[in-house]
Amino acid sequence: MTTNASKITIEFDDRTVRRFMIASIIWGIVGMLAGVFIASQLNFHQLNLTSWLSFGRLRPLHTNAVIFAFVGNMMFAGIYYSTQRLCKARLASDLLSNIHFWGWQLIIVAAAITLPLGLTRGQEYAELIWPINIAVALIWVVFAVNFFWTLAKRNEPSLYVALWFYIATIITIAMLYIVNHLSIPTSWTHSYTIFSGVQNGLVQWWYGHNAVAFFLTTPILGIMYYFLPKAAERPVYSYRLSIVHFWSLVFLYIWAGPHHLLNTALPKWLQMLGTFFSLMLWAPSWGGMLNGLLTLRGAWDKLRTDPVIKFFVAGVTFYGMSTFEGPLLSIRAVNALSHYSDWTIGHVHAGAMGWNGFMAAGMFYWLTPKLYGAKLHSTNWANFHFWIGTIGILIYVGAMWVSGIMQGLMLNATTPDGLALVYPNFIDTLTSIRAMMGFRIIGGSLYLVGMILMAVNIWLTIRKGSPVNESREVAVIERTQRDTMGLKETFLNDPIACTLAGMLLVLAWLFLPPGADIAALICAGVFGVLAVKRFQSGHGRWSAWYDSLLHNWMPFTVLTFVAVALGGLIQIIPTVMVNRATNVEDRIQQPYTPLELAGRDIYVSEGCYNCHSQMIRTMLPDVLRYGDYSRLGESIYDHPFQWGSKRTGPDLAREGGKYPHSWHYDHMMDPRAISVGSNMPAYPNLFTEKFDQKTLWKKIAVMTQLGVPYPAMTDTEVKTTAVEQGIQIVKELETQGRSGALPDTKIIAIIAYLQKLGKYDVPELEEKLKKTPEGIPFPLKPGIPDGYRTSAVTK
Amino acid sequence: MYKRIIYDSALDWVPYLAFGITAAVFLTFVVRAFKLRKDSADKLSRLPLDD
Repeated sequence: MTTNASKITIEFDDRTVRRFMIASIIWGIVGMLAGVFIASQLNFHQLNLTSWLSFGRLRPLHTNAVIFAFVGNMMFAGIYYSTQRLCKARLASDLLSNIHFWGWQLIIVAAAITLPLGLTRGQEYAELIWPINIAVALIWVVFAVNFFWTLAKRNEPSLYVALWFYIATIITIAMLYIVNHLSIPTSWTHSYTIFSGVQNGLVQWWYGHNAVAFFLTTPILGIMYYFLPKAAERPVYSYRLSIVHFWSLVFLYIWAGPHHLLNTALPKWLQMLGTFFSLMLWAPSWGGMLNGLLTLRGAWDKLRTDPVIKFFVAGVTFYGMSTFEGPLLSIRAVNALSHYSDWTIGHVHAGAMGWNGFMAAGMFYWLTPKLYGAKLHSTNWANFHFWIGTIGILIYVGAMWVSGIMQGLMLNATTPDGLALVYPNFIDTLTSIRAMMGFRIIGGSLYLVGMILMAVNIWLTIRKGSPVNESREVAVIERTQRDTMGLKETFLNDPIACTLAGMLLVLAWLFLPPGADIAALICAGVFGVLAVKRFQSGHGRWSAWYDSLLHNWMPFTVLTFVAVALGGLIQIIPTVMVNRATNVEDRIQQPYTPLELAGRDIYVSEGCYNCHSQMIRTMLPDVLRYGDYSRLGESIYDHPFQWGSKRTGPDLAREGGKYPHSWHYDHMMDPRAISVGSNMPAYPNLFTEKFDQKTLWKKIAVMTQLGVPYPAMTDTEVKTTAVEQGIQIVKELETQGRSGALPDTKIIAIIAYLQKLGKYDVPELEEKLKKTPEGIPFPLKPGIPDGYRTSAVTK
Repeated sequence: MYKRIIYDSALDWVPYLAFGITAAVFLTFVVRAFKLRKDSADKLSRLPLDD
């Protein structure tokens, strides 16, 4: 770096950008190849070649690879490239950049090894085991320090809106990831989440939904706000609209997580919040889409010739379409049809392939010539990539729409009197969508071909050129021109003080015991009046404070954190803090015996939750098909919860006792021998592998620590209890004509677990019956409509 | 209070809360956005092109 008076020449760190870009392309192809493979497994069960190549273990590999490896690396490339230019400063630390890059790749490799081995936490997009979770958190901190340090030494006073989206991404993902991964280890490769049942469900989908929002959306929006104007060579259509877009998006998105749990045992008010905030997300999402598309005003002719613009326009359009479809699927009635079906799969792939994949492609085609100083090898190939990718997406998404709606309608169809199912056999509904599952393979393969073509095109471009680190002369700005607000100025001001105090008082109203809650509410009212008066007397200060956000990253970051934390706090705290024993709808799950717990861990490890839910919704067809609807208390000891998000196979919430042991024994060995037409993998390995006895005691100890009421047991007692139950199951199998099973094998453990599903106790039933006034429908009877159960319990 | 939070259907107030929060956020930032001076907005919007 050379200095000349108040100007300096800086060389941007483009090597880090190149690395992340290449890593994204490589991992993208790996992740999509895994996607095509698992899609094929659903139609051709023979492709479940070994235990580590089974669908249940590979599906998390596919999702993690696409989200964290493909989009993650792409995001880092885009953020690092644009942040340096927008800040007119080189990345703060080469060391941190190196640690970030290599650390992230090591995490991906670790995930690619552990997931096929069946080492998982059993929660979607949060499957990685705890040592990798810690590595992710540490590397994310490295990324954050590198980013904020670059902001702190920038040579441009203003913070462009793209940087706002990056800030929101960094702080929100940190918050979501840490909370959702809070676990207690039982060994180096296994842990139990501290949350259970409904708490776990809510926290998981708060994380899962907002991983989509803040990992797959906000950073890409920031990239859109930087790269689209660059490619179109004109400024963003409306900077004012981008301000409204940013704040409304980050504030509203965080509330929408419960829409993943509609019609379940989740409290109604949370379901409603999820639906309402999802619907209102239409506005900011479409505001952003229109802002992106209208940036091309006067440059639409480029659409004919420039593949970069093609990808960006299609990507932004897919963003608009996906964010239209998302709220639509969050309407409770629509969700009753779509949830657990391929419609959701089509929805997420429209976003992942159309929005993320096309924005990545546009950015890479734009970046490569600049990063390597060479003209793109073939524009025709890039155009061909665009068209084959678009056709691939349309085939994929169209097939999943048809498949999801068809299967959803069949599963929910009842006879005119509403007393029976039209298609009582689940396999019939699966057979009917086989053709559409085949089209999915075709669509996915076309998209993958496009990705490979891009990789070859970029590789040939790289070979023609050589790495270029852009240098630029910039004016050095004085410290006083940027970040004039320190910690004191950030927190000690009216807007922040009033907001925080107001929030605390409202939370106190929600959580304090009777009497104190009313006092808190009165205080909140008085405080509100005082805040309004303070605003009236000094609104100039409030305005000045807001304007300072445009030039100060610290208060901006604090305000963003407040915006995203608020929704999460209000939704999660009541569910987490609640005394579980008195809020279980009069059903308490029976704790698993040691053998059943071992079986459950095998169930989780094999990824059974990818195809089987354990949540009978409060809907007539679900109740007719699977039995009495699920209550909150029935999964209260489930660490992690296994409510699921997709039913490629039937729900298992009340599987226990439905069939004899021999049925499960035969079914796991050869599913098609029991269910003709099933696409479930066979699990012959379970018949020879032993279940884990070594850490079983530790697992019981951690469960006890988490509040599951186990009696005190020694290591030997735990093992003895497990094996004794295994011997009992083996004896029962022998009476059913299945000899040769060993009591310490995985198949015995998983049979024990499956036979336990749906078993619960009814505590204090008699006492409550005595206390219940005449005429009140209490305790709850099976089949009582959902709308009445809440009033019954609160009486 | 906990029990009410967990079980209350809250059909009567949740929609208003959701709409109120959304409206407040939208209005606040629409006002802020329109208070941004045109020359400032133009300058900010040109930052990516300022090579």
